[in-house]
Amino acid sequence: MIRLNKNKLFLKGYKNLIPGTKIFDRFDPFMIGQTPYFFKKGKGSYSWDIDNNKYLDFHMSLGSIILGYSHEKVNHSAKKQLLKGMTFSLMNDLEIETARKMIKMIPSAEMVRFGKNGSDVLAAGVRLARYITKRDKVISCGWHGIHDWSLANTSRNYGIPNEIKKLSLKFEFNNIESLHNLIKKNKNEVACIVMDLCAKYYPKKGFLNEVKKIAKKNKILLIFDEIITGFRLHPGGAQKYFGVTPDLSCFGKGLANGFPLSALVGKKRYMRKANDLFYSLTFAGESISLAAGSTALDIYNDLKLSKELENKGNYLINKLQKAIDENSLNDNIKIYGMPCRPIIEIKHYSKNLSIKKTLSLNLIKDFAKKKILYNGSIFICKTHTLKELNYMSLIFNEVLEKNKKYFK
Amino acid sequence: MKLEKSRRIIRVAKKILPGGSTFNKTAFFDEGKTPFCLVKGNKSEVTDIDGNNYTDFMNGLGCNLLGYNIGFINRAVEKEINNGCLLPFASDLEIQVAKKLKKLIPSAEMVRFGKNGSDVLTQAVKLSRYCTNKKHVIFGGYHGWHDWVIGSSSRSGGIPEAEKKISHKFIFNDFNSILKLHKKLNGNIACIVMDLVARYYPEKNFLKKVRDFCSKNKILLVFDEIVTGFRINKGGAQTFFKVTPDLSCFGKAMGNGMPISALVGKKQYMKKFNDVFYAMNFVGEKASLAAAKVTLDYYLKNDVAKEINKKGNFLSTQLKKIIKKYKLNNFIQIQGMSSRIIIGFKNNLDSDFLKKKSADIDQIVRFMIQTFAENKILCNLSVFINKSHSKKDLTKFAKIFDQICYKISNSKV
Ligand SMILES: Cc1ncc(COP(=O)(O)O)c(C=O)c1O
Ligand SMILES: Cc1ncc(COP(=O)(O)O)c(C=O)c1O
Repeated sequence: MIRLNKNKLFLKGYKNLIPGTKIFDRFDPFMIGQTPYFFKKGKGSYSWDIDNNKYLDFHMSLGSIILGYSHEKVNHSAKKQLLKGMTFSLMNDLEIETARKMIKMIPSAEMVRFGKNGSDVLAAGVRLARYITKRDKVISCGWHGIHDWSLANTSRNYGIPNEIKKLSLKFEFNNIESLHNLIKKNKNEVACIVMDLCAKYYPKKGFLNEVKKIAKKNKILLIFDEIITGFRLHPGGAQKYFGVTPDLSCFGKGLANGFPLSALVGKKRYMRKANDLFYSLTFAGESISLAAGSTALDIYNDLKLSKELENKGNYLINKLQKAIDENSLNDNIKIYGMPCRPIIEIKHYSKNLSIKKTLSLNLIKDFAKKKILYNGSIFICKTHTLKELNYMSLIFNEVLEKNKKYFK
Repeated sequence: MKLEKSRRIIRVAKKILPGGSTFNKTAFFDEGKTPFCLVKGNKSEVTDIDGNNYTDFMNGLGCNLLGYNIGFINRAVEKEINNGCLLPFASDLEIQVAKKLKKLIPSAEMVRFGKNGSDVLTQAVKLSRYCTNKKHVIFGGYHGWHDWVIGSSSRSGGIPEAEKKISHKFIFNDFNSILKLHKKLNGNIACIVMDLVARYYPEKNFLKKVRDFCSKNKILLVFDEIVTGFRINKGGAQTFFKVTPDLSCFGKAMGNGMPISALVGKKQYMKKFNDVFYAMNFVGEKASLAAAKVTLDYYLKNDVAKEINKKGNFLSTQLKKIIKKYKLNNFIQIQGMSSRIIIGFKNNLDSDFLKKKSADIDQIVRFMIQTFAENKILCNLSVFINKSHSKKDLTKFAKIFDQICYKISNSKV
């Protein structure tokens, strides 16, 4: 059992001060009392909550951590920079240093513009595409941040005027027909296609090339969202891994292994036009995150790292699948996604949504009891050892056994 | 003054960073006559890449209110870096910072954090649209780079017509311009977003009229305190002018250089964030929260705003005297507030912050910025006073300004 006294106490204060949930987790903090919510420390594969419970962590700040929490070398660069200053009045040479490294690593990167959030650079990319094409509509197929153009395509699109919603269209990943149809219906109105390359599914063979062909033919800009895939799947991003180069692409999350940094990169002939537009942030050149990013990029620039993440992920997936098989839950639990980020999805054929929710919660709760931080989406980081992965799959098996009865 | 390295960097930067860097940091600084790239800051002094030192009056575009390299802030940041700056879910630092904001700002009943000022301003608009079930936004000045603001500027490329049709600019201190918009839009206004002192102080009763108008017409009043916050008064411009907004936005000086911003406001509206979706990956990042915690604590315990206003008052009095001495009153004007003085130009009341000034004025601005730089002062005419500025710094600034005005009045520009 875990004690969560402080967690429970703090949640009360938190809810009174800070409305809504801060993060994307599919579950609200109502789970508190059963799982931890407030964290104070992270190191390598582990995190500590304020009750001092230590967890083997697969949350990794929703994928912002690739090298493990509080990475020595990255921290060292950040702290060194701290003594020089945080945000300067003019530009800082770290912008150039970091941009140069990205240009070397990422196929589509000829110029770079920094931001803080993933949402910043995605919105900047969309604006640039609208400017270049002189069209307003945007086609996308996943989660691309909180700004109107992206949020419009979700079920929580509150506060967005209808005329803005109408500009956002949705296609289905791996379904080239759905893209064809949208473009046909909105002939000469689409500015860009924004997509991630490997969220739940791998792109089907030829799919990405087909998307690129359609985009080119219709003079639509192709924007890849590499917020999750970047540096994790391959040092050059998913675009390098799958061998398809977009016009613009967006990086964030792991870019500085936990420090707030994002970047829009792209071909020179497009990026140059950003100069006509207005994208300016007080903190875009904040130098501590850039110093961290620059050092993190040096570490990412090594095929062995992404290979290692992939191998570990495959190792874990095999073990998890075995546990699913052994508990005969193949119809109920499925593993999706890339090896470096397996997604575990629960299917429950009961129409009763609350059973499904309870079940998902049960799993998370039971994992927490065993000191594993798990929320369905598993992020593998560099410091995860085989021993830790073994422990994870052992507990997975236990948790499944315990909850098996609810699936029936 | 040696500027070789800066000049070399300009060429490289323009090749790989569109525009060379963030807009406000490059305008007139990319001509090889001023520093272009800074590498270090200490209190009120910064060092460029060629090793030249300058007294900095730009202060990271207003975020370094206490100056650079402040020991107690660095220590707080370092501690959270060691603990891991980004962890799962939340941390009690969020609660602590929220509590301090609540203490400082009268209208802060609930708080949401962001990284950029632009983040929280745009969320305030979205929240207002949801709370009022109305559509149009009217705003007063610069409130970040998002579509609803930039759509009416001269750099509105890439912004859909649909957005331009639902965001409108009103004229500060002209209450009639608000009434006119209200009529034109059939009252379909979700919020009024405004800063309280950009170039000018609000005229008597202007704020009260706006406040009453909003309450009467169920429009949310959103104050942009990104610049005024902690600067004009430790409780922001809303405390200084004694008007209470429904929502307000803070950023810049909140973490003295670390990237953090906040949307605060009345509970009845803020709690709608249970529906309205606002969640970003880095908003709980702890190094910035730790910086905000100790910075706000410092603002609570020491009246920094009072101190910098006193300094700014001293400076602006000097500057006004100099302008008078050279009979430039009809041309150069001291605008803004004591803690952020704007060296402005009369007859140039256009509030489009991006529009190119007339060629003559461009020439003068260039001359001023470059003369300041030659004399080891960093200034882009938006003069941010910080706590580290000494009397000597201020006197030196005035002295250079005197030389500048002398040359202008003798038409040597
Ligand atoms: C009054 C005002 N509002 C909003 C902003 C936007 O803040 P940020 O650059 O952090 O997005 C600024 C920045 O210059 C500002 O001066
Ligand atoms: C694929 C993808 N794109 C964009 C974003 C938005 O990034 P941020 O939350 O930093 O704005 C996320 C964040 O989780 C993401 O997963």
